[in-house]
Amino acid sequence: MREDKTYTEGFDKEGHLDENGISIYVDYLKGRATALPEKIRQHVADCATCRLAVMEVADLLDRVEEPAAEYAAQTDRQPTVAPKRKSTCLWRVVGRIAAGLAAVLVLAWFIQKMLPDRQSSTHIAGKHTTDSTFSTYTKDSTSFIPDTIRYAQAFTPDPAYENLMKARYRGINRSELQAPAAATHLAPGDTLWMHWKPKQGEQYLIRIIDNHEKEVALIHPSSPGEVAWTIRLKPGRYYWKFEGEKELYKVGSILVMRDN
Amino acid sequence: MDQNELDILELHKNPGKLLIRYQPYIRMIIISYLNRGCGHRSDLEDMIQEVNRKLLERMPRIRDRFNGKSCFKTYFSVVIRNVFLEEMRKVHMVAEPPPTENYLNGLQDRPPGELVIRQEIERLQRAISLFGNEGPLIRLTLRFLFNIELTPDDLAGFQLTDETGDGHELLYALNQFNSMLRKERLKVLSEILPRLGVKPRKPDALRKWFNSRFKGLLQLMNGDPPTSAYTEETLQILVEKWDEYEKK
Repeated sequence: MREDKTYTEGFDKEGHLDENGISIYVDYLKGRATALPEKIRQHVADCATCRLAVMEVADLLDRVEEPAAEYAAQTDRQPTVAPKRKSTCLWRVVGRIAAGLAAVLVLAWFIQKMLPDRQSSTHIAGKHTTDSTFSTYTKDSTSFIPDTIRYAQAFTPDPAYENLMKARYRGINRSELQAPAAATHLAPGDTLWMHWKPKQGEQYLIRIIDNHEKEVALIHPSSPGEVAWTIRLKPGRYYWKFEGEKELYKVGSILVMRDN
Repeated sequence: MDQNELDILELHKNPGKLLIRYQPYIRMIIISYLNRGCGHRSDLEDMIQEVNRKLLERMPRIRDRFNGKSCFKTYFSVVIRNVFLEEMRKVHMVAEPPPTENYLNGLQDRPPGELVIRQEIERLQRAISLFGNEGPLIRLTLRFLFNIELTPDDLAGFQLTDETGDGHELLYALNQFNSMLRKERLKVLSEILPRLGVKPRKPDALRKWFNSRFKGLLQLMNGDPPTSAYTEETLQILVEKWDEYEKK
Protein backbone atom coordinates (compact mmCIF):
# COMPACT_ATOMS: atom_id res chain seq x y z
CA MET A 1 0.00 0.00 0.00
CA ARG A 2 1.43 3.34 -0.97
CA GLU A 3 2.10 5.67 1.89
CA ASP A 4 0.23 9.00 1.65
CA LYS A 5 2.36 12.05 2.09
CA THR A 6 0.93 14.46 4.58
CA TYR A 7 0.61 17.99 3.28
CA THR A 8 2.78 20.32 5.31
CA GLU A 9 1.72 23.92 5.20
CA GLY A 10 4.12 26.01 3.16
CA PHE A 11 5.57 23.01 1.30
CA ASP A 12 4.72 21.36 -1.99
CA LYS A 13 4.60 17.65 -2.81
CA GLU A 14 8.33 17.53 -3.49
CA GLY A 15 9.09 18.99 -0.10
CA HIS A 16 10.14 22.42 -1.38
CA LEU A 17 8.56 25.68 -0.36
CA ASP A 18 5.35 26.42 -2.18
CA GLU A 19 4.01 29.93 -2.85
CA ASN A 20 2.75 30.25 0.72
CA GLY A 21 6.06 29.14 2.17
CA ILE A 22 8.10 31.52 0.02
CA SER A 23 5.85 34.45 0.84
CA ILE A 24 6.00 33.67 4.60
CA TYR A 25 9.80 33.81 4.48
CA VAL A 26 9.86 36.94 2.33
CA ASP A 27 7.44 38.71 4.68
CA TYR A 28 9.85 37.85 7.49
CA LEU A 29 12.83 39.24 5.56
CA LYS A 30 10.93 42.42 4.76
CA GLY A 31 9.97 42.94 8.38
CA ARG A 32 6.25 42.35 7.84
CA ALA A 33 6.27 39.29 10.07
CA THR A 34 8.13 38.99 13.36
CA ALA A 35 8.29 35.21 13.47
CA LEU A 36 9.33 32.58 11.00
CA PRO A 37 8.27 28.92 11.34
CA GLU A 38 11.35 26.91 12.27
CA LYS A 39 10.55 24.25 9.70
CA ILE A 40 10.61 26.81 6.91
CA ARG A 41 13.76 28.49 8.21
CA GLN A 42 15.58 25.17 8.47
CA HIS A 43 14.47 24.02 5.04
CA VAL A 44 15.73 27.21 3.39
CA ALA A 45 19.03 26.87 5.26
CA ASP A 46 19.41 23.37 3.79
CA CYS A 47 17.92 23.79 0.30
CA ALA A 48 19.73 25.77 -2.40
CA THR A 49 16.67 25.85 -4.68
CA CYS A 50 14.40 27.37 -2.07
CA ARG A 51 17.10 29.81 -0.93
CA LEU A 52 17.33 31.04 -4.50
CA ALA A 53 13.56 31.39 -4.80
CA VAL A 54 13.26 33.35 -1.54
CA MET A 55 16.17 35.63 -2.43
CA GLU A 56 14.77 36.27 -5.87
CA VAL A 57 11.29 37.17 -4.64
CA ALA A 58 12.77 39.46 -1.96
CA ASP A 59 14.86 41.18 -4.65
CA LEU A 60 11.79 41.49 -6.85
CA LEU A 61 9.78 43.19 -4.11
CA ASP A 62 12.69 45.56 -3.45
CA ARG A 63 12.49 46.57 -7.09
CA VAL A 64 8.77 47.05 -7.48
CA GLU A 65 7.35 48.10 -4.15
CA GLU A 66 6.80 51.78 -3.53
CA PRO A 67 8.02 53.30 -0.27
CA ALA A 68 4.92 53.96 1.85
CA ALA A 69 3.54 57.51 1.46
CA GLU A 70 6.85 59.06 0.53
CA TYR A 71 6.15 60.26 -2.97
CA ALA A 72 2.79 60.73 -4.59
CA ALA A 73 2.54 59.60 -8.21
CA GLN A 74 2.53 62.78 -10.22
CA THR A 75 0.87 62.38 -13.56
CA ASP A 76 -1.46 65.36 -13.33
CA ARG A 77 -0.91 68.35 -15.52
CA GLN A 78 0.36 71.58 -13.94
CA PRO A 79 -1.23 73.73 -12.62
CA THR A 80 -3.87 71.52 -10.96
CA VAL A 81 -7.45 72.47 -10.35
CA ALA A 82 -8.68 72.18 -6.76
CA PRO A 83 -11.62 69.77 -6.29
CA LYS A 84 -15.01 71.26 -5.51
CA ARG A 85 -15.91 71.27 -1.84
CA LYS A 86 -19.32 70.84 -0.30
CA SER A 87 -20.77 73.92 1.31
CA THR A 88 -20.37 74.02 5.05
CA CYS A 89 -20.77 76.29 8.03
CA LEU A 90 -19.04 79.63 7.47
CA TRP A 91 -17.31 79.66 10.84
CA ARG A 92 -15.87 76.22 10.20
CA VAL A 93 -14.55 77.44 6.87
CA VAL A 94 -12.96 80.50 8.48
CA GLY A 95 -11.52 78.36 11.25
CA ARG A 96 -10.02 75.91 8.81
CA ILE A 97 -8.53 78.68 6.70
CA ALA A 98 -6.99 80.29 9.77
CA ALA A 99 -5.59 76.98 10.97
CA GLY A 100 -4.24 76.20 7.52
CA LEU A 101 -2.63 79.61 7.21
CA ALA A 102 -1.01 79.30 10.60
CA ALA A 103 0.35 75.87 9.67
CA VAL A 104 1.72 77.19 6.39
CA LEU A 105 3.41 80.12 8.10
CA VAL A 106 5.02 77.88 10.70
CA LEU A 107 6.14 75.45 8.02
CA ALA A 108 7.53 78.25 5.85
CA TRP A 109 9.49 79.63 8.81
CA PHE A 110 10.82 76.16 9.57
CA ILE A 111 11.83 75.50 5.97
CA GLN A 112 13.51 78.88 5.77
CA LYS A 113 15.61 77.95 8.77
CA MET A 114 16.55 74.60 7.28
CA LEU A 115 17.37 75.68 3.73
CA PRO A 116 20.92 76.86 2.99
CA ASP A 117 21.41 80.43 1.81
CA ARG A 118 20.66 80.54 -1.89
CA GLN A 119 23.44 83.04 -2.43
CA SER A 120 25.97 80.37 -1.53
CA SER A 121 24.56 77.88 -4.05
CA THR A 122 26.93 76.82 -6.76
CA HIS A 123 24.09 76.78 -9.25
CA ILE A 124 24.16 80.05 -11.11
CA ALA A 125 21.00 81.33 -12.73
CA GLY A 126 20.82 82.91 -16.12
CA LYS A 127 23.46 80.99 -18.08
CA HIS A 128 22.89 79.31 -21.42
CA THR A 129 22.65 75.55 -21.41
CA THR A 130 25.72 75.12 -23.57
CA ASP A 131 27.83 76.54 -20.72
CA SER A 132 26.88 73.52 -18.61
CA THR A 133 25.45 75.51 -15.75
CA PHE A 134 21.89 75.34 -14.65
CA SER A 135 19.35 77.60 -13.13
CA THR A 136 17.46 75.97 -10.30
CA TYR A 137 16.88 76.55 -6.66
CA THR A 138 18.03 73.47 -4.87
CA LYS A 139 18.99 72.26 -1.45
CA ASP A 140 22.47 70.96 -0.85
CA SER A 141 22.55 67.95 -3.11
CA THR A 142 25.86 66.51 -1.91
CA SER A 143 24.18 64.08 0.46
CA PHE A 144 21.13 62.03 -0.38
CA ILE A 145 19.73 58.78 0.79
CA PRO A 146 21.03 55.95 -1.40
CA ASP A 147 18.38 54.29 -3.50
CA THR A 148 17.63 50.70 -4.37
CA ILE A 149 18.25 48.97 -7.65
CA ARG A 150 14.62 49.63 -8.49
CA TYR A 151 15.38 53.33 -8.40
CA ALA A 152 18.54 52.66 -10.36
CA GLN A 153 16.36 51.33 -13.16
CA ALA A 154 14.37 54.56 -13.12
CA PHE A 155 17.57 56.34 -14.12
CA THR A 156 18.29 54.27 -17.20
CA PRO A 157 18.72 56.62 -20.18
CA ASP A 158 16.27 56.37 -23.03
CA PRO A 159 18.33 56.08 -26.24
CA ALA A 160 15.83 58.00 -28.38
CA TYR A 161 15.72 60.98 -26.05
CA GLU A 162 19.46 60.91 -25.48
CA ASN A 163 19.80 61.35 -29.23
CA LEU A 164 17.26 64.15 -29.24
CA MET A 165 19.30 65.93 -26.59
CA LYS A 166 22.36 65.91 -28.82
CA ALA A 167 20.51 67.21 -31.87
CA ARG A 168 20.91 70.77 -33.09
CA TYR A 169 17.73 72.81 -33.24
CA ARG A 170 17.10 75.62 -35.63
CA GLY A 171 15.20 77.97 -33.35
CA ILE A 172 17.18 77.55 -30.12
CA ASN A 173 19.59 80.47 -30.51
CA ARG A 174 16.80 82.93 -31.23
CA SER A 175 14.91 81.90 -28.10
CA GLU A 176 17.98 82.35 -25.83
CA LEU A 177 16.74 79.55 -23.62
CA GLN A 178 18.20 79.22 -20.15
CA ALA A 179 17.42 75.84 -18.65
CA PRO A 180 19.03 73.08 -16.57
CA ALA A 181 22.10 71.50 -18.09
CA ALA A 182 21.92 67.83 -19.03
CA ALA A 183 21.26 65.47 -16.12
CA THR A 184 20.93 68.19 -13.50
CA HIS A 185 20.26 66.73 -10.05
CA LEU A 186 17.07 67.92 -8.42
CA ALA A 187 14.92 66.75 -5.54
CA PRO A 188 11.16 66.76 -5.02
CA GLY A 189 10.22 70.24 -3.89
CA ASP A 190 12.95 71.92 -5.94
CA THR A 191 11.97 74.37 -8.65
CA LEU A 192 12.61 73.67 -12.29
CA TRP A 193 13.25 77.10 -13.75
CA MET A 194 13.44 78.02 -17.39
CA HIS A 195 13.70 81.39 -19.02
CA TRP A 196 13.67 82.44 -22.67
CA LYS A 197 13.10 85.35 -24.95
CA PRO A 198 9.53 84.86 -26.16
CA LYS A 199 8.67 85.29 -29.79
CA GLN A 200 5.51 87.22 -30.48
CA GLY A 201 2.58 84.99 -31.27
CA GLU A 202 4.37 81.78 -30.26
CA GLN A 203 2.66 79.39 -27.82
CA TYR A 204 5.31 77.73 -25.68
CA LEU A 205 4.97 74.65 -23.54
CA ILE A 206 7.25 72.20 -21.75
CA ARG A 207 6.62 68.48 -21.70
CA ILE A 208 8.16 66.27 -19.04
CA ILE A 209 8.74 62.68 -20.20
CA ASP A 210 9.95 59.78 -18.07
CA ASN A 211 12.61 57.28 -19.20
CA HIS A 212 9.93 54.98 -20.56
CA GLU A 213 8.84 57.73 -22.97
CA LYS A 214 5.68 58.40 -21.05
CA GLU A 215 4.54 62.00 -20.69
CA VAL A 216 4.16 62.76 -16.99
CA ALA A 217 3.56 66.51 -17.04
CA LEU A 218 2.65 69.30 -19.42
CA ILE A 219 3.66 72.78 -18.29
CA HIS A 220 2.08 75.90 -19.74
CA PRO A 221 4.06 79.01 -18.80
CA SER A 222 2.06 81.31 -16.55
CA SER A 223 4.14 84.34 -17.55
CA PRO A 224 5.76 85.08 -20.92
CA GLY A 225 9.27 83.75 -21.21
CA GLU A 226 9.47 82.00 -17.88
CA VAL A 227 8.48 78.83 -16.10
CA ALA A 228 9.10 78.02 -12.43
CA TRP A 229 7.69 74.58 -11.80
CA THR A 230 7.83 72.75 -8.48
CA ILE A 231 9.09 69.21 -8.93
CA ARG A 232 6.66 66.56 -7.71
CA LEU A 233 8.13 63.62 -9.56
CA LYS A 234 9.19 60.21 -8.37
CA PRO A 235 12.97 59.66 -8.39
CA GLY A 236 14.29 58.91 -11.84
CA ARG A 237 15.57 60.32 -15.09
CA TYR A 238 13.23 62.67 -16.93
CA TYR A 239 13.45 64.53 -20.20
CA TRP A 240 12.01 67.96 -20.84
CA LYS A 241 10.96 69.15 -24.28
CA PHE A 242 10.73 72.87 -24.88
CA GLU A 243 8.25 73.33 -27.70
CA GLY A 244 6.44 75.97 -29.62
CA GLU A 245 3.22 75.51 -31.49
CA LYS A 246 4.94 73.99 -34.49
CA GLU A 247 8.56 73.72 -33.44
CA LEU A 248 10.66 71.72 -31.03
CA TYR A 249 13.35 74.02 -29.66
CA LYS A 250 15.30 71.91 -27.25
CA VAL A 251 15.37 68.64 -25.32
CA GLY A 252 17.15 68.26 -22.01
CA SER A 253 17.18 65.95 -19.03
CA ILE A 254 17.00 66.12 -15.26
CA LEU A 255 17.62 63.55 -12.57
CA VAL A 256 15.17 63.66 -9.69
CA MET A 257 16.88 62.23 -6.64
CA ARG A 258 15.40 61.26 -3.30
CA ASP A 259 15.16 64.08 -0.84
CA ASN A 260 17.14 63.99 2.45
CA MET B 1 -9.81 47.31 7.57
CA ASP B 2 -6.25 47.41 6.26
CA GLN B 3 -5.17 46.88 2.67
CA ASN B 4 -4.33 43.23 3.22
CA GLU B 5 -7.79 42.50 4.62
CA LEU B 6 -9.37 44.35 1.70
CA ASP B 7 -7.35 42.29 -0.75
CA ILE B 8 -8.41 39.04 0.87
CA LEU B 9 -12.06 40.10 0.93
CA GLU B 10 -11.95 41.00 -2.72
CA LEU B 11 -10.13 37.75 -3.52
CA HIS B 12 -13.15 35.85 -2.23
CA LYS B 13 -15.91 38.15 -3.39
CA ASN B 14 -14.67 39.57 -6.68
CA PRO B 15 -11.34 38.14 -7.87
CA GLY B 16 -11.72 39.76 -11.30
CA LYS B 17 -11.86 43.19 -9.72
CA LEU B 18 -8.83 42.36 -7.59
CA LEU B 19 -6.92 41.41 -10.71
CA ILE B 20 -7.84 44.71 -12.34
CA ARG B 21 -6.69 46.60 -9.27
CA TYR B 22 -3.36 44.81 -9.37
CA GLN B 23 -2.73 45.65 -13.03
CA PRO B 24 -0.13 48.39 -12.37
CA TYR B 25 1.68 46.05 -9.99
CA ILE B 26 1.67 43.18 -12.47
CA ARG B 27 3.01 45.55 -15.10
CA MET B 28 5.81 46.72 -12.79
CA ILE B 29 6.86 43.16 -12.02
CA ILE B 30 7.01 42.22 -15.69
CA ILE B 31 8.83 45.42 -16.63
CA SER B 32 11.37 44.79 -13.88
CA TYR B 33 12.13 41.36 -15.31
CA LEU B 34 12.28 42.59 -18.89
CA ASN B 35 14.58 45.44 -17.86
CA ARG B 36 16.96 42.89 -16.42
CA GLY B 37 17.23 41.06 -19.69
CA CYS B 38 14.64 38.34 -19.12
CA GLY B 39 13.03 38.91 -22.48
CA HIS B 40 12.69 41.73 -24.94
CA ARG B 41 11.05 44.98 -23.97
CA SER B 42 8.98 45.01 -27.12
CA ASP B 43 7.23 41.89 -25.80
CA LEU B 44 5.90 43.76 -22.78
CA GLU B 45 2.28 44.09 -23.85
CA ASP B 46 2.06 40.52 -25.13
CA MET B 47 3.60 39.26 -21.94
CA ILE B 48 1.21 41.26 -19.76
CA GLN B 49 -1.73 39.93 -21.71
CA GLU B 50 -0.56 36.33 -21.42
CA VAL B 51 0.21 36.61 -17.71
CA ASN B 52 -3.19 38.17 -17.10
CA ARG B 53 -4.92 35.45 -19.04
CA LYS B 54 -3.28 32.78 -16.91
CA LEU B 55 -3.90 34.64 -13.66
CA LEU B 56 -7.57 35.03 -14.52
CA GLU B 57 -7.84 31.31 -15.25
CA ARG B 58 -6.12 30.46 -11.99
CA MET B 59 -7.84 32.90 -9.65
CA PRO B 60 -10.06 30.20 -8.10
CA ARG B 61 -7.00 28.07 -7.39
CA ILE B 62 -5.06 31.09 -6.10
CA ARG B 63 -7.95 31.86 -3.77
CA ASP B 64 -8.17 28.29 -2.50
CA ARG B 65 -4.46 27.85 -1.94
CA PHE B 66 -3.70 31.12 -0.18
CA ASN B 67 -3.46 30.21 3.50
CA GLY B 68 -3.50 33.75 4.92
CA LYS B 69 -0.23 33.29 6.83
CA SER B 70 1.52 35.99 4.79
CA CYS B 71 0.48 39.30 3.22
CA PHE B 72 -1.67 38.69 0.19
CA LYS B 73 0.44 41.09 -1.84
CA THR B 74 3.58 39.09 -1.14
CA TYR B 75 1.83 35.82 -1.97
CA PHE B 76 0.40 37.26 -5.18
CA SER B 77 3.84 38.58 -6.15
CA VAL B 78 5.16 35.02 -5.93
CA VAL B 79 2.28 33.79 -8.09
CA ILE B 80 2.82 36.53 -10.69
CA ARG B 81 6.52 35.82 -10.74
CA ASN B 82 5.93 32.08 -11.23
CA VAL B 83 3.44 32.67 -14.05
CA PHE B 84 5.86 35.07 -15.72
CA LEU B 85 8.77 32.63 -15.48
CA GLU B 86 6.57 29.87 -16.85
CA GLU B 87 5.76 32.07 -19.82
CA MET B 88 9.34 33.18 -20.24
CA ARG B 89 10.60 29.61 -20.49
CA LYS B 90 8.51 28.98 -23.55
CA VAL B 91 10.41 28.79 -26.84
CA HIS B 92 9.47 32.22 -28.19
CA MET B 93 11.06 33.95 -25.19
CA VAL B 94 14.53 32.48 -25.63
CA ALA B 95 15.78 35.04 -28.22
CA GLU B 96 18.28 37.57 -26.88
CA PRO B 97 17.45 41.30 -27.22
CA PRO B 98 19.47 43.25 -29.81
CA PRO B 99 22.95 43.91 -28.41
CA THR B 100 22.80 47.67 -29.14
CA GLU B 101 19.93 48.24 -26.73
CA ASN B 102 21.63 46.40 -23.87
CA TYR B 103 24.91 48.13 -24.62
CA LEU B 104 23.37 51.57 -24.38
CA ASN B 105 21.33 50.81 -21.30
CA GLY B 106 24.28 49.21 -19.58
CA LEU B 107 26.93 51.82 -20.13
CA GLN B 108 25.46 55.27 -20.23
CA ASP B 109 25.16 57.30 -17.06
CA ARG B 110 24.94 54.55 -14.48
CA PRO B 111 23.44 55.63 -11.17
CA PRO B 112 26.01 56.67 -8.59
CA GLY B 113 28.12 53.65 -7.50
CA GLU B 114 27.38 54.08 -3.83
CA LEU B 115 23.68 53.49 -4.40
CA VAL B 116 24.22 50.15 -6.06
CA ILE B 117 26.95 49.02 -3.67
CA ARG B 118 24.84 49.70 -0.63
CA GLN B 119 22.01 47.74 -2.17
CA GLU B 120 24.35 44.86 -3.01
CA ILE B 121 25.77 44.77 0.51
CA GLU B 122 22.24 44.51 1.88
CA ARG B 123 21.57 41.69 -0.57
CA LEU B 124 24.73 39.94 0.58
CA GLN B 125 23.67 40.21 4.21
CA ARG B 126 20.26 38.87 3.29
CA ALA B 127 21.83 35.98 1.36
CA ILE B 128 23.97 35.04 4.37
CA SER B 129 20.92 35.10 6.65
CA LEU B 130 19.19 32.54 4.43
CA PHE B 131 21.69 29.93 5.59
CA GLY B 132 20.00 29.92 8.99
CA ASN B 133 22.21 28.82 11.89
CA GLU B 134 25.24 28.65 9.61
CA GLY B 135 24.91 32.34 8.79
CA PRO B 136 27.14 33.68 11.58
CA LEU B 137 29.94 31.24 10.75
CA ILE B 138 29.69 32.04 7.03
CA ARG B 139 29.92 35.73 7.81
CA LEU B 140 32.90 35.30 10.13
CA THR B 141 34.74 32.99 7.75
CA LEU B 142 34.09 35.24 4.76
CA ARG B 143 35.38 38.33 6.49
CA PHE B 144 38.33 36.61 8.14
CA LEU B 145 39.50 34.90 4.96
CA PHE B 146 39.23 38.16 3.04
CA ASN B 147 41.25 39.91 5.73
CA ILE B 148 38.48 42.31 6.77
CA GLU B 149 38.82 43.78 10.26
CA LEU B 150 36.48 41.84 12.51
CA THR B 151 34.05 43.59 14.85
CA PRO B 152 31.82 42.40 17.70
CA ASP B 153 29.02 42.01 15.13
CA ASP B 154 31.02 39.19 13.60
CA LEU B 155 30.64 37.20 16.82
CA ALA B 156 26.91 37.86 17.16
CA GLY B 157 24.89 34.70 16.76
CA PHE B 158 27.50 32.44 18.38
CA GLN B 159 27.13 30.76 21.76
CA LEU B 160 30.45 31.96 23.17
CA THR B 161 31.97 29.75 25.83
CA ASP B 162 32.87 31.01 29.31
CA GLU B 163 36.53 30.88 28.33
CA THR B 164 35.84 33.25 25.43
CA GLY B 165 33.87 35.69 27.54
CA ASP B 166 32.60 38.61 25.50
CA GLY B 167 34.96 37.80 22.65
CA HIS B 168 37.03 41.00 22.63
CA GLU B 169 40.27 39.20 23.29
CA LEU B 170 39.50 36.68 20.57
CA LEU B 171 38.66 39.44 18.09
CA TYR B 172 41.88 41.22 18.91
CA ALA B 173 43.90 38.06 18.35
CA LEU B 174 42.16 37.35 15.03
CA ASN B 175 42.67 40.90 13.83
CA GLN B 176 46.35 40.71 14.69
CA PHE B 177 46.85 37.60 12.60
CA ASN B 178 48.66 38.90 9.60
CA SER B 179 49.30 35.93 7.37
CA MET B 180 47.52 36.26 4.05
CA LEU B 181 47.67 32.57 3.24
CA ARG B 182 44.20 31.10 3.17
CA LYS B 183 45.50 27.78 4.39
CA GLU B 184 46.89 29.36 7.55
CA ARG B 185 43.80 31.43 8.15
CA LEU B 186 41.64 28.36 7.86
CA LYS B 187 43.85 26.60 10.38
CA VAL B 188 43.42 29.43 12.88
CA LEU B 189 39.67 29.48 12.37
CA SER B 190 39.33 25.75 12.85
CA GLU B 191 41.23 26.07 16.15
CA ILE B 192 38.87 28.69 17.55
CA LEU B 193 35.61 27.01 16.54
CA PRO B 194 35.10 25.32 19.90
CA ARG B 195 35.42 28.69 21.62
CA LEU B 196 32.50 29.90 19.53
CA GLY B 197 30.34 27.00 20.59
CA VAL B 198 30.60 25.50 17.08
CA LYS B 199 31.24 21.82 16.35
CA PRO B 200 34.99 21.39 15.74
CA ARG B 201 36.17 20.88 12.18
CA LYS B 202 39.58 20.17 10.76
CA PRO B 203 41.00 22.84 8.44
CA ASP B 204 40.35 20.75 5.34
CA ALA B 205 36.75 20.06 6.33
CA LEU B 206 36.29 23.75 7.06
CA ARG B 207 37.70 24.61 3.65
CA LYS B 208 35.30 22.23 1.89
CA TRP B 209 32.37 23.47 3.93
CA PHE B 210 33.20 27.11 3.19
CA ASN B 211 33.73 26.49 -0.53
CA SER B 212 30.30 24.93 -0.77
CA ARG B 213 28.64 27.78 1.12
CA PHE B 214 30.55 30.37 -0.87
CA LYS B 215 29.30 28.79 -4.07
CA GLY B 216 25.78 29.02 -2.66
CA LEU B 217 26.34 32.71 -1.87
CA LEU B 218 27.49 33.38 -5.40
CA GLN B 219 24.41 31.67 -6.74
CA LEU B 220 22.15 33.80 -4.56
CA MET B 221 23.90 37.03 -5.46
CA ASN B 222 23.76 36.21 -9.16
CA GLY B 223 20.08 35.31 -9.03
CA ASP B 224 17.80 33.03 -10.97
CA PRO B 225 17.32 34.01 -13.74
CA PRO B 226 20.85 35.37 -13.46
CA THR B 227 21.15 39.12 -13.47
CA SER B 228 24.65 39.48 -12.08
CA ALA B 229 27.94 37.75 -12.70
CA TYR B 230 29.73 37.75 -9.38
CA THR B 231 32.92 35.73 -9.11
CA GLU B 232 35.05 35.09 -6.07
CA GLU B 233 37.17 38.13 -6.90
CA THR B 234 34.27 40.52 -7.38
CA LEU B 235 32.46 39.21 -4.31
CA GLN B 236 35.63 39.82 -2.33
CA ILE B 237 35.59 43.43 -3.53
CA LEU B 238 32.00 43.71 -2.33
CA VAL B 239 32.95 42.29 1.07
CA GLU B 240 35.71 44.91 1.32
CA LYS B 241 33.14 47.59 0.48
CA TRP B 242 30.99 46.13 3.27
CA ASP B 243 33.77 46.96 5.66
CA GLU B 244 33.92 50.59 4.43
CA TYR B 245 30.14 50.85 4.55
CA GLU B 246 30.02 49.68 8.17
CA LYS B 247 32.65 52.16 9.19
CA LYS B 248 30.61 55.13 7.87
